Amino acid sequence: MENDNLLTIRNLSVELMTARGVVHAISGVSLDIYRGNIHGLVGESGCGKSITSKSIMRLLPEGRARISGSIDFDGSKLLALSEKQMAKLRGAEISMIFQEPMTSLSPLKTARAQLEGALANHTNLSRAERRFRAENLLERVGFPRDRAKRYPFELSGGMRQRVMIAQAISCNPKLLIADEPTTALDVTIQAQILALLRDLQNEYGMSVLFVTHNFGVVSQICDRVSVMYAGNIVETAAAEELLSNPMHPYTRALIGCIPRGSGQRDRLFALPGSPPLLYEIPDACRFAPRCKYADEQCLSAPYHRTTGTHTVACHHVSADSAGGI
Amino acid sequence: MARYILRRVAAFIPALIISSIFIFFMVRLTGADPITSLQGTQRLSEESRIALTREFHLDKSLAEQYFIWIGGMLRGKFPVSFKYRQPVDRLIASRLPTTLQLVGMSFIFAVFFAITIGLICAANKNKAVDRILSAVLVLFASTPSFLLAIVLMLVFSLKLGWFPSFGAGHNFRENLYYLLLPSLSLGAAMMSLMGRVTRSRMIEELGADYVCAEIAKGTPRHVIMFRHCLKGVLIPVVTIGGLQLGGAIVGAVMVESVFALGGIGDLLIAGIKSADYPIVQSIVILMTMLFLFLNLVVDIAYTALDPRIRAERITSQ
Repeated sequence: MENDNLLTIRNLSVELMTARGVVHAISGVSLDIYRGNIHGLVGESGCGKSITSKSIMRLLPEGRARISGSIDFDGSKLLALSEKQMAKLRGAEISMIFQEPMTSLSPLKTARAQLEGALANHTNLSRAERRFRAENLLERVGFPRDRAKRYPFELSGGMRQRVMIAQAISCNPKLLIADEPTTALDVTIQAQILALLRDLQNEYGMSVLFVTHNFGVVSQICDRVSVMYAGNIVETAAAEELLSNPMHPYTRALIGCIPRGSGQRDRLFALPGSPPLLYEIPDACRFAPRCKYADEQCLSAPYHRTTGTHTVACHHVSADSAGGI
Repeated sequence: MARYILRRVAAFIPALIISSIFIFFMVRLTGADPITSLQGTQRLSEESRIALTREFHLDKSLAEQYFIWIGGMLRGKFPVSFKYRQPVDRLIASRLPTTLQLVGMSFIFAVFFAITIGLICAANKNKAVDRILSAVLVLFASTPSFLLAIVLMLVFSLKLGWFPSFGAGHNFRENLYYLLLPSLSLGAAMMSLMGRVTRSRMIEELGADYVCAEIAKGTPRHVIMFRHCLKGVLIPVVTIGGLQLGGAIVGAVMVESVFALGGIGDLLIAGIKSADYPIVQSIVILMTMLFLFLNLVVDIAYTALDPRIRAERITSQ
């Protein structure tokens, strides 16, 4: 499988220097993204999803973030590249869509100008060619042609996200990082954007890292999924497998939290407690304080057990008893 | 847009009426007798004193005097100066070019250095360059322009002899040379405030979400700064630039008198000293008009900079 990886993250840790001390935002994260695959990264707010995706892009503030580990992208070691080499990759080989379409577009540029800018960064096209390509891209993402000269403040959230997507795919990237691209949108627009992303992924054959906290979205769009908790990846599997056979107690709890519109009005399930603050991290299972299966051995760090393509970090899941705790 | 400008110009009328009343009566509050200060050392006969008082309408009530003045101004007729015995507009006309050139040059200096320094500081936030330049900006902000004028004159004119210490020169090229030190002293304070606003706004702007998104697009840093952020940064700079330009017309008075440039400022100070009401009133009302006009220019400049403000103006009509 290793050769089929577009992106290989090994043992990635990020420490953020803050006024209140060092935050161990993520520790020991390993992740494989296959070519042509949509890989979901799921977890609650603050678990390190965005930090992980921003470290791939190297968008974390250099003075305040200490990054260790390795990120291998299509043969190049991203963490070893110079800022200049990295700038060449950004937007061309790896591009990114952000959560907040309201604030992520340059406010004083028209929709078309945003795309022309993206094309100018990585191509030698003439002005007229850029304009032509920009208009075609807008059309491709379902953005009405007659609004190409509108400014972001004149566009709805969904339309802005379409512009973001158009500029993200403008240079034919190998990897698209979508950091909660539908969270700020209402449900009908969400579905349209997801369908668009799925289509574009097929058409362009790119890989997608899809960051979300929504399992519904995962089931609609992802091929594989990793679940994050408090800066660790606790479980990785094919999307169907993970949804039908979750092994980690945290994954189970998360899936248990999804409300089902089945007619009975039960109390919604909520996981008790809250994630640990990541200032000082003991070498133990981070979920243990909230886990109903926790015992003595959970005080030591769990190692990842793998059965086939299903990886779990939990003492209570043994290789042979996969699926049963 | 034309309607917007028209509406704004219409709003000038009440502003001008109020300020004209204010100016007129403020000047009269000094209570100095213009005829006495006019006579100087020689004694005036009682007849000529009465004649002068009548000629200048000083025997009429204050309200009447006000309407005589304002009525004349509306017909384009400036009052006659007590001291110079000529209409004030003629006095102003010969001095105005110097003042305008001084203010214009100092504003160009101020804008150029403010934006350059502000951007250098923002790009090197909290590094040594930023700290030094920021300290320089604060220093200039707290130095009165006349003091800076005296210091510059001492060093560059009297010690080093590089620049003339008085006068404005006789032709345009000489003007540029003669007015260099005065306009630097007048522009320093303007530069300081605009420079600090440029710096802090640019730092704020560089922290915005869209800047991160632009980096993720692979947009080079200088393109982000100049093509994406600068316009937004310039909006508050234009605001205070416009206000300061108005202030500079007044500030020019001090610098003109230090360098003996013979501009409007000199005329104004002389007018105040000799209780020459027509001069004081006319110059101050002209400055008011200029100030209002500059505010309008600033507001129009916004529209060019920010499409959001443009949209607002079009919909509010």
